[in-house]
Amino acid sequence: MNNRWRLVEVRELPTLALWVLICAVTALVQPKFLTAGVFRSILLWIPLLVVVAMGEMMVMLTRGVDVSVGSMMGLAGMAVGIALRDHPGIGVYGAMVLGIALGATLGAVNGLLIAYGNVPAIVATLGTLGAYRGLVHIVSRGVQVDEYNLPRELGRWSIDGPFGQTLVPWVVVFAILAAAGTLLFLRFTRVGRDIYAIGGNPEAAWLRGIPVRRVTFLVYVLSGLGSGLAGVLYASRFGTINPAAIGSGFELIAISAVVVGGVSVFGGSGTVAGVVLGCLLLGTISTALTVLNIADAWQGTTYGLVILVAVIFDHWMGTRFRKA
Amino acid sequence: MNEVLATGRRTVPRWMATPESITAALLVVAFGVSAAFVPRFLDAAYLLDRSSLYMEVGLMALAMTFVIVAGHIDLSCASILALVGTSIATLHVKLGVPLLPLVFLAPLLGALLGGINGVIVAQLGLPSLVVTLATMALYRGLAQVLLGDHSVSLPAWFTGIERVAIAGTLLPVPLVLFLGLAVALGLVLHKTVFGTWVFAMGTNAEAARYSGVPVAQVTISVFVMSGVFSAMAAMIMISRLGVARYDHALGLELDVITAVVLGGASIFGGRGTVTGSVLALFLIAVLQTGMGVANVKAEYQATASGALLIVAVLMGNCFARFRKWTASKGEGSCSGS
Amino acid sequence: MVIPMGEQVPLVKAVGLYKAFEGVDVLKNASLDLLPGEIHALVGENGAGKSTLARIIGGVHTPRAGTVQVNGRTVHFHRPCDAIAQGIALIHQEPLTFPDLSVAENIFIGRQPRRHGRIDWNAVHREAAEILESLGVKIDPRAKVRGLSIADQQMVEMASALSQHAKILLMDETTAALTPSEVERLFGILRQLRDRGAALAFIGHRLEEIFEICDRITVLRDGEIVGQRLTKETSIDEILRLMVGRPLAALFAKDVKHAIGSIALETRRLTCAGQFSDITLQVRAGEVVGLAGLVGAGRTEVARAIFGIEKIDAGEIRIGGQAVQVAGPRGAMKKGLALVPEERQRHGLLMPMSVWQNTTLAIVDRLARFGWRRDAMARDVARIGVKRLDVKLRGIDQPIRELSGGNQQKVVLSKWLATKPKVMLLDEPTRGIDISAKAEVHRLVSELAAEGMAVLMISSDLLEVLAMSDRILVMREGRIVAEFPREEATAERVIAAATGQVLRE
Repeated sequence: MNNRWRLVEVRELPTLALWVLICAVTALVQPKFLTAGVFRSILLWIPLLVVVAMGEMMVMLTRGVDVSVGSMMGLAGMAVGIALRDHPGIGVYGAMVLGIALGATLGAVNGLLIAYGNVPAIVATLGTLGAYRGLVHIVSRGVQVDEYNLPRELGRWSIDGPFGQTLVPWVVVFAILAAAGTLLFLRFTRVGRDIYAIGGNPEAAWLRGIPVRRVTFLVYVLSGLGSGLAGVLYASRFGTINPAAIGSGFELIAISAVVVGGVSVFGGSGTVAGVVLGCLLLGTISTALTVLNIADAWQGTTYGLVILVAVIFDHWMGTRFRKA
Repeated sequence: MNEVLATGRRTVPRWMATPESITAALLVVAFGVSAAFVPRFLDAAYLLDRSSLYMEVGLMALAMTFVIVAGHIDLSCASILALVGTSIATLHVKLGVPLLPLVFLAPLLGALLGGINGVIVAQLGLPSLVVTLATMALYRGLAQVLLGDHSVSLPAWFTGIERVAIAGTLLPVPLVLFLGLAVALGLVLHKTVFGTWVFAMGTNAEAARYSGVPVAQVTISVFVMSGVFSAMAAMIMISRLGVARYDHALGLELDVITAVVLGGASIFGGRGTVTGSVLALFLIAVLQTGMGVANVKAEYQATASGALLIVAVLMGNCFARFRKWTASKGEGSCSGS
Repeated sequence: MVIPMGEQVPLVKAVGLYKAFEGVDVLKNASLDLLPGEIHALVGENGAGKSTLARIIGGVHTPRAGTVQVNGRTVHFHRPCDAIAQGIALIHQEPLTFPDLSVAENIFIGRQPRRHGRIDWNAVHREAAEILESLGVKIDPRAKVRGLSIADQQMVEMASALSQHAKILLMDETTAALTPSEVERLFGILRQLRDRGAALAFIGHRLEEIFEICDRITVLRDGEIVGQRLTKETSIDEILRLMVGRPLAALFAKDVKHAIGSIALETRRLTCAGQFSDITLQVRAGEVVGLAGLVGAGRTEVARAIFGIEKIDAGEIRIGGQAVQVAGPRGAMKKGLALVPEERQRHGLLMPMSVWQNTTLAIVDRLARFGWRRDAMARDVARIGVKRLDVKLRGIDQPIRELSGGNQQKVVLSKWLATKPKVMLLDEPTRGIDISAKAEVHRLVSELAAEGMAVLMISSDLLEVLAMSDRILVMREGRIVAEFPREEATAERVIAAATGQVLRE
């Protein structure tokens, strides 16, 4: 059997089934759910999540965690907004490069602390979660960047696509590129495989000569890079960049997507397809809650429950599998 | 080989070799600097008044010391605080349940919420990090479902606990409660069988289990403790602020964990003291008060808190390396002779 | 194939290596040459420093003093990849595998064949299959490693070392889990490598194997090199004498004149899926039952199941004639069981804590009043234990990690003696400890049996099993396959039963 291009593994099937179930139930209760408008709002919801979740996934594959993604996204997005407001000359592409580079730098700080400073991932990123969020307030002086401050071109990324005004706007294309890039990276490069090896057995990875510190550093840089890109996409999608709102609590959604997507909380296993499916599931749930007119307040509860159900399900599958 | 072991190799006095002493020294320095710039720092009434702001963090940090020494982490403590606060307020204001019995019900509710964390961690062997991250969102979400964006006001007799002083002194009730519980928990952690089990589990959970330590029960217990103390903190907070809101103590787990780690506890478990956590709490209080006086906005202070947490751990690492280095130097000179 | 020594340039030359762990010297002034085209055995008791020596050459440890030369050039290895870059492959005692990756990836991790800058998966699988075939094992290169037997995992690791085309191959007890036919196949490959001019270091315990394959033998004892011989100029007896440093007759034997009492521990058809099945055994008061077998035969798992650590799928455990449900180690302890675990540092001790805290960990609640610890009593208990087992230390406040392996093991034993058990389960009680501590442990076990304790002793040290046991049970692949009373047990018979060979008598 050639499993080279087998994208969907067994673990993804329950997620897929759950997604179908949620769609079906929502559609039964509220037929409006099956319209192009809803489909489009799901599609617009997901890109931010996908680019962040790709980085978070790589971190979690190495048995780490990055809870600072929301703050990195906030700081990068804020910086992009301010740059475009105060120096419109840099252009949207310049701003995009700035956002991504800034994100990667912030991620590199995490990576340095974790890989070379021996600070546990949760402590380091919990610290930078607070520190970067504070910086968002400091650089913005608490003032939000409004839609009229930003070039229209940025906003059009969320409307126009490569084929004109279609169902697939540019932000979705960026997300697809990010996911495809991650897939190729994890599957066809040695470093990508090292990421799995480190999560699977860190000690063995070191003894087998894998540069554990360097790879660990890299995954946090990549996580920052994804968050930086997400900050730019946020600016495009929402127009208004509020220092308290941008990326706040996003780490939870990202970790939910990764865990729901079947990445083991003990590291070492998980697929890009699964995580993308996880993002799709969360995006659908979020949109379904709105369509069903359930209060926004239920969102946090939902993410919490989704993580719990996913890890308990994985545990249950794991014990059944071992017994068999 | 025995002679090697018999040779003394301690190059630093024992009392200096504890992480708490660094925290204590920092506390003295921070206090001195603050006092030099802000004369009010020498006004006892002002300090006692300010102390009440930190007692909620303090109570949670006491229990978190147990959780972290046991080798776990509880990210959900601040969410438990919010959920208990909103639940009690909802039961009283919307359903008319008398408040006094509810105050005693609160710790039970906290125990239940903490117990859920503990049971999932202990029985399924899942990392406490992921489990409490999930319940952090879950409990906060439930609080939001209960109250939405509203504030619920509590009756006047219940509010203002921080302005009540112990008879004949200036000591506010929350501070006294905190110090009393700190002494009690210090004794529990360092003098009882339960405390020994907590340390054993945090040092090496497998070895502890092989040695007959009831690891599952101890795990559940520390999470229940964390829930109970968060509930107590909730009561103090809604009394102090006079209202209950779902976003109370948002992000406060960061301060709680910072206090414990800054107090010398190892995030990997097996090391930590209640004294250290208490000292670190006061250090944070002095720093934040100092920043407040210097007009640093609350939102900006997150940067300082986060940086402090990281610096605390980095310092701990350097400290451990230094100890290892002095030990290996001693060892080298011994076998050379 | 005799190589004129002294003329060839050694591929590896280690000179004057010192290494200490936690203040205990494990290697003292050790020097070693590995010549091209030789298989060089490193032998010695557990804890003699063989693995440490190999691990220094393999870049896992850095020595405190001494140098390593490769091809005549001095090298400084800081991490394993430094050694790998010099063409050194180290195969570890316990297989180092990545359970969620495929067999092929486990072989090639970090070195996957690439084409146009990307991993060529076809080549990965093809080359993995070729190497596995040359080793003569039938493992699907696309299968995940999770679920493979220890022997198969060992083969995967061997394949990985071969795929590196290393000029220097260090093997740390690679054959411990292999069956005789697998060992034969492996030896064939090692000879091929030798004939191609590679230098091989072989750490092992089975001297017959070593005499079959090795050209030179270096003997270590207590961290020092005590002798080096050409295989054809020496004998097993001489090597053994060098290893133990005293005549063999001095090995402690159990005092057998005491009466054996009633059944203290019994298991009936104990089964744990995937680990062992149908284990029926009895241990009587005052009796020492040896449990022999190859690594991975399921012996440790049986002990762990009796002690309530692993869940049982079927069968029953009876203690003192009554069927019991053992709910975890705590329950087992209350029923009078004690387990001295195989992995002392992982399962037996709290390394940063003091000797007295470790000694009294299991009874801290028994010594307490209303939940309050009574440290004075605990320290007395620790002092008694230290005295009875003659633990060498500075004081009972000393952290356990500063003690030598043998003294650490004595503390584990005194921890369990403090619980006053009726049945002792000993899992490799003398692994990795020095000769004198070993004799102490044997004396203690004999003493305990004389006092009426029932002892089930798992050991891979055949001489120990033969000397200490009243009865020997042999396990193979999760089942008990033979039982010998003391008088009928011989090394040959036990080995034959453990490996499944038919003995020609």
